[in-house]
Amino acid sequence: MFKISQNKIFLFLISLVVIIVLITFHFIGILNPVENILLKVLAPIKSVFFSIGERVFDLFAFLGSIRDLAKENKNIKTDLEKSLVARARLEELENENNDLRKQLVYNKKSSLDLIPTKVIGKDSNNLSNVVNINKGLNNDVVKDRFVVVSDGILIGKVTEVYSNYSEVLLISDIYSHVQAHIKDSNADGIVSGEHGLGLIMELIPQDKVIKKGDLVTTSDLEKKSYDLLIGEIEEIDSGDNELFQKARIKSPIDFKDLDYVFVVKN
Amino acid sequence: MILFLFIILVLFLTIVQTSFLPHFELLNSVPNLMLVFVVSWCILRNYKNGLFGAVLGGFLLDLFSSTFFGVNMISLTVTMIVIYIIISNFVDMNNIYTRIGIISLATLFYYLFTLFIFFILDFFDLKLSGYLQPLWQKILGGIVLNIIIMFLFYWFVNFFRDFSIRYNDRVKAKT
Repeated sequence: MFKISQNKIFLFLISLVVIIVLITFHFIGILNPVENILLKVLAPIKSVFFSIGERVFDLFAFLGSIRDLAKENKNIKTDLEKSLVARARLEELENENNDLRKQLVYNKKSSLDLIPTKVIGKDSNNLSNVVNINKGLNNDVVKDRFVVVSDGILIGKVTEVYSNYSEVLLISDIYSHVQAHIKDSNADGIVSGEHGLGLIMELIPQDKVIKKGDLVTTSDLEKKSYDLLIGEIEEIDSGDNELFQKARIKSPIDFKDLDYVFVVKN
Repeated sequence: MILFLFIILVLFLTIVQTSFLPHFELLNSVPNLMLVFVVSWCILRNYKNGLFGAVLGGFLLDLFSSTFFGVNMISLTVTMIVIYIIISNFVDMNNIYTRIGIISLATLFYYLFTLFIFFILDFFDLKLSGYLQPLWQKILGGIVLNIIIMFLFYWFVNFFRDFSIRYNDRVKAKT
């Protein structure tokens, strides 16, 4: 049917056999030393390229945003005015809070023990939401640990750990599932990714009253939770015929622009 | 020497693909350098090097990927083989339209084949991460970007061919 010489067919078959052998060796562990050496050598180079890419992207983004600066400036001025009002209100609340604390026994929560890491790459297949970080087993990074940004905002979970390198599945991935809690309504649910475009919280009981703007944190049910912020409710979907409510969560983090992140150690 | 340069080139493309390009997401996608490179190499130079590039490039991409190990290797190699069979049986001309057609076909086949593997792995519950994203958008974006990158690679592969011819001539002259 097709014109193709036997030599070529033989070569194609050899290639496929080589691939099968490599995959088998990978899962048996024979390839581990080679892989670790390659990762060790290439990770710093990747880190450099990632930083260069970030700078070039920032430069283009800056050039692209120049025309919007006037509009942005006006918005910032409006925001600043609002912030001043909010600040005055905040100071008032702070004073009130201090007074209340004096009256209560206040158990301060232990602070998070964090491992600072740098994002050095993203998944090459264009279809998943995974980032690579430059710390691994040698730096006490362990599988399934939460990963946050500096403010304690959850971005993902460690899924794969090598000696000096790890992979983090972002919460925006559809296969990421995090038990979550809505503070104001005391409701629990599961937050998962929505095709890398946003976050959705599901399995919220119908009897819980949730509203737009409610903060969503990790739930105590996860055991390793420290009330890490996930985001705030942006949109609610509570059909009468549904057993559970759904809510679209807006994360304060731009998952496409991650640089330094922290693995929660304790 | 040429083989060494080829390996360095594949390493370089892997690093650019996994660390530099993800910042430049256009049309909801990023170009697949390795795919365009091996297909261009297969068309312009020879299928043997293209095949070697597909296996090596796929291996390196798998190393830096969270996907099931081997997915990139298999997808790249099978795409290369299929494209080679199509070129040698059905394509006589090598003009701009056939190049665009081949790259589009290769990208489409690569994505669909990769998704097929994911489907199989998912069926056996072997998959480690999620992939079923708004696919057509990504595939179409990938095709457009890969066509743009192809022009760059065609120039580069031609340049590399001239370089290797000059290099071999010089080695022969010395001996």
